[in-house]
Amino acid sequence: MAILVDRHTRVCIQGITGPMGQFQAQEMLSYGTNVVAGTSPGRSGARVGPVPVFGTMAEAVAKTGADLSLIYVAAPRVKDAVFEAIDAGIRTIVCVAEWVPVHDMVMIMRRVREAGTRLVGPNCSGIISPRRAKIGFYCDEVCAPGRIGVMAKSGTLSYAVLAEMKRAGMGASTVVGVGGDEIRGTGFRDCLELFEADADTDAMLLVGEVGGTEEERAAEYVMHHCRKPVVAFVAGRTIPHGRNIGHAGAMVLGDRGSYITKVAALKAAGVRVAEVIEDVPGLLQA
Amino acid sequence: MLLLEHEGKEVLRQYGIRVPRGTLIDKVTLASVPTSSLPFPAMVKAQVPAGGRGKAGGIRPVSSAEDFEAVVTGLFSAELKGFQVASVLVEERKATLHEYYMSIIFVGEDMLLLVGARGGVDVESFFGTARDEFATVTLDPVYGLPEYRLRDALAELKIRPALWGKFMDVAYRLARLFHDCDATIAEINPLAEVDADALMALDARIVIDDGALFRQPRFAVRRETESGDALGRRMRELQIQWVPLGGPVGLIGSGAGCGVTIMDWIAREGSGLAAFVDLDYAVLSGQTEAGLRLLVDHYLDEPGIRSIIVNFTACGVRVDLIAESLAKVLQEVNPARLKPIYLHFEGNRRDAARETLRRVGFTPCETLGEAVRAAAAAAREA
Repeated sequence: MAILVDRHTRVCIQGITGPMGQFQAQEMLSYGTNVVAGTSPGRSGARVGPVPVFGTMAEAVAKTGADLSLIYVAAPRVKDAVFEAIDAGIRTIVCVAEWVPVHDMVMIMRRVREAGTRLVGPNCSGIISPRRAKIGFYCDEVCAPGRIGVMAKSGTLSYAVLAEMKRAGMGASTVVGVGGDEIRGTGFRDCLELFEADADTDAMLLVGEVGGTEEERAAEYVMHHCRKPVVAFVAGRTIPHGRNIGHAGAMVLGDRGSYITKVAALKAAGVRVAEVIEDVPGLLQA
Repeated sequence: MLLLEHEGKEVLRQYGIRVPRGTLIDKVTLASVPTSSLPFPAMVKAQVPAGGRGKAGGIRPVSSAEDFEAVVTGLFSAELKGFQVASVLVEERKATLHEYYMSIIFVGEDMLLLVGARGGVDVESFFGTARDEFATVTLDPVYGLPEYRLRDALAELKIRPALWGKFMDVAYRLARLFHDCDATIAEINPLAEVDADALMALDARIVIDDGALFRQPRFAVRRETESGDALGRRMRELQIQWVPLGGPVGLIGSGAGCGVTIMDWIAREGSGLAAFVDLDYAVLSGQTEAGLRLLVDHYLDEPGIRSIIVNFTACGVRVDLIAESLAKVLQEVNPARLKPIYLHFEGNRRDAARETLRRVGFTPCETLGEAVRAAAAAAREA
């Protein structure tokens, strides 16, 4: 099962002919991801390895039946790429780009909601269901297959935590990078809901960060709806209030988004919170 | 990017919001500005990109040319909130009947107009203990700012109806500015009643979205010439995120989340990072080696740095290529200059990365925790 992506997911890469798109297409294909199409305006008929390139999303979807789009265009063009994917009938969009303009994100979220499309990201590391498919950056060195549902704001931190899990002999059913911006599509709450219903997931790991209210909303969901155990780690304990260090979303204003508030909310919901990432595997086993 | 006060006020003026008459003076123009042209009694306001200037002594009333010269000389020779003062804004001092507050901010994906019945509050106090001092109106990205909701807010704050028209005028102008300029904060604090029924912005705090600078060319220009020391400018040229923190452990690494986690972890181990560092964009733009060299050289030169932690935990880029660049940079270093350095490489092609480093005589740590504890211990003991 896993969530969001598996072997059958038909992936289209928007912006496949750029250097990042080409490299990642290769990495995803060698992982076994079913990459069926790529797009690049004006480049219809080209190929990237075995993958056919189309000029528009409408054509890519019509010719290949793609159902998930991974957006590899630069941040200034993300809004248009999301709108194009939605118009072509794509149901799940994954966006890794950092620095998508905040005012664009407001319009993107409006469009995503009215169309009922799922957006993962932006500023995220993608999704992996180990040994089934990967969309985005996750790699085998850190990611073993297993029964933990993992969700994380930060890509690099999730790799570090996954490496700790792998060393302890644990793996993931699916890992979802929800992204480090304050305005995001799929959040922790959505992931918890999917993992809770997933037969391949026994427990959930939430890798959060100060800023915003994702963790607080997740805690509320855990309290009322989760029967599976949840473990969490929250980064940014020492980020000074009012300063922006690291991700754009990692901003503590007053009580909003602070480490103390998040950890208190998670603990009150019965979530076990790791003090350092090395403690995560032990808490997952407990 | 936080605009300087005078830049923010210029934007307000362009959108038709009243601001005091003022003259911008920097060290170069100081000598050539006739003090007789200045509007005494005046306020002298240091232009640095930071809040809390008033409390830090950066905003000073002056009544005469003699006063002015003493104050300006003092400001130009000192640091304010960590910034060298390069210019001051000299403004007519306005007598105010009452001070109000107005701003537009993002709270998650909601755009909120905040109105306060008194000055002295700010965005921070909205998220702290003073939330009920504000009336809020949500700005819809499609439908805009509903007038009746704005009227409700003003009534709630007991602002007298004679002023409602002025408030609405400022609110609509600020909303247009917020949208047009890709602002993420547009704050007027205080919004002062200077004559009966007239409002004027006595300060401006406008933050422009860094992600939108590609379509805000006039602010992007400012970004390139942004103040900062030589090291900070060099880091910016190589697209390295660099936030000085002052501790003894030098970080070299990529990834915002990992960097912040290491910052927390080093603190937990009783030490501190010299700076938050993220080389992501240096790596993506092909400047890995130059970035690594700059950081290694800086940490070795800087006497306050007692140990170095290197962490590359990455999946989207190959860490073996980063390790090759690092090996090259480390081999160039005179061994007598070297400080305790702890390396951790994890992720895409990490085995090759570790092998490369071993080959040049640097044994990488097996885990991030091992590297963190060793770097913190070395810094404590040195």
